[in-house]
Amino acid sequence: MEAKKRPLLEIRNVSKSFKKIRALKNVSFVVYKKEIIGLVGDNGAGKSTLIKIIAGVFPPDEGEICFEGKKVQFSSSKKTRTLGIETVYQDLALFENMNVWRNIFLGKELGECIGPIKFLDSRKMGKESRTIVKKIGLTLPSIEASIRTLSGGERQSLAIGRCLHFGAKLLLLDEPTSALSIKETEKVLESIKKARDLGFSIIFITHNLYHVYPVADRFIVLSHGVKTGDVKKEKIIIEKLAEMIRGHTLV
Amino acid sequence: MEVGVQRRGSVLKRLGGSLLGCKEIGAVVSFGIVFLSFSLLIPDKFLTLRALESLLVVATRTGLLAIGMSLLLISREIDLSVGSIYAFIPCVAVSLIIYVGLPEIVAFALALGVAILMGLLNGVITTKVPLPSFITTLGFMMVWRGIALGIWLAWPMSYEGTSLFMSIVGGKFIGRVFNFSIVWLLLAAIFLWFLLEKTDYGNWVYATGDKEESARALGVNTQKVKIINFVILAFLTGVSGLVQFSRLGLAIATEGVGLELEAIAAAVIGGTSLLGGYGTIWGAILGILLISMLTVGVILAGISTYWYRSLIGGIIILAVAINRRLLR
Repeated sequence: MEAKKRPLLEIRNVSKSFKKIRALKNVSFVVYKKEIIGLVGDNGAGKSTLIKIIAGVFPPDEGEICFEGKKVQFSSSKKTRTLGIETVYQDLALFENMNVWRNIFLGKELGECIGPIKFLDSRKMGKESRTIVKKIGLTLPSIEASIRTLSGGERQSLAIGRCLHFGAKLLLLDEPTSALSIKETEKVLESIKKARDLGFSIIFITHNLYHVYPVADRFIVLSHGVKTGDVKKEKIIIEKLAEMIRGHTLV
Repeated sequence: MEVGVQRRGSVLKRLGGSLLGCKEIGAVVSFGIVFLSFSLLIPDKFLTLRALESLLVVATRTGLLAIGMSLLLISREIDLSVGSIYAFIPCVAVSLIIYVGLPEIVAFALALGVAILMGLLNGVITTKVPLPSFITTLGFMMVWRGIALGIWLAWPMSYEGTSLFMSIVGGKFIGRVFNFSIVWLLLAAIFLWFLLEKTDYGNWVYATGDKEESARALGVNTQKVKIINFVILAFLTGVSGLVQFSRLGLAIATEGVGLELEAIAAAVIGGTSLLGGYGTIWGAILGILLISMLTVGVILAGISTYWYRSLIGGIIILAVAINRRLLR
């Protein structure tokens, strides 16, 4: 027990309600370094709520979150990002009408501050964007191309590459494969594994077990806002996991 | 040889694609059609310096509102109260000068302060309550108009400022030879273009209008962005009111009815999306030049000015239809 690695992220007794609906009840779990967690559960199980709490979008009603051994004071998603927790949302948080470098640096623009206004250094951002794109193995026509011209897989890889570049330690991936073809899904799963091997931890949220099973090291199962399972992959087969999500098996 | 043909085809296609991919195309085409029509129909009246001056004066009046409206629309909000603010601000200024006895420059600064407060009210109520901006600003459109009519009635208040300050604000840089108030529009447009394209704030405006929640998740304070945009628009509206007041020496509480719709029309003709996330300042300028050209051209052609509204309506539909059809 003592020999266990120190956890990167620790969730303790987190609860959250929206008006009269309890979205999460007393959820606790840990995430270690270089680990891919599959956060699974049916629609409405509370996965997205949990991820938004970790990302700092809103605070939990009860419970606490520790990152690298320190308690996280909720303030804003911007603050959470500076800690090293980056989210790749379901809709990718890429902006269709904006070009590649504007997307990569959104909210973290580089440039010179004069008074309250920051003047963009588009050359520097363009150059760094080209490096990022290369690192994740993408070939794009131009760094000035708008996102609407990219395929779903390209967008996903770009979103992951963006997080890696900004020194994230924990990636939160919300349904990263939901809108992709089989071929593109494989590529994205490959880049997720690559991210883990580079030393990142990943929470992979999905209700598609067949996407998460091959890459995850451990599974957290949520059902109606309650954690109903926390199992290592080698201890469970996919059919059993599916049963857990449906909620028939827990005795 | 076949390779060459293919390459030429692709170059042409790419050129066409980038041309058609530009959402100002509808405005450019409409502008061309209207310009040619007037140039052929009434060349002796339309292609004159006087006509150009009138066009630029008309363009400045609504243009200052249109570029601010474009900025606000990009962040996915709308402001219907600007027509009333446009009437309100010069009335404040003239009252401060005549009844309080303040120097012109101080009166103008205070009046613009009132405009900023009005924008702030629009923005704060819209984002914090929250309410759809359509409702907030529809309400304030009536509130400000009602207060203005209540205080100042519908009487014109004249104040012929002969000072250098008033002349400059009114665009009379070189006496009465040619009115240069368009300079104010150009300066404001350059500032907004710079803000939108060259600063981090511009990035946030586009992101806010495109996907507000994602922008917030990336740490953008989207409420602040929207409030600032409401304030910029109200400020520019105040400036427009004061420029016209300085030019004409007249303020009246009934001014600017329907001006908000003309500003929205200009922005939309110029390619700005009502759904947010897309638009440019130069598109709005193009839109307002088109509307102004119609206004002036119709008058010069001796057609009853009542007709010009229906023409503008047609142009709105035409320009946006061209955008939609060609961009698919």
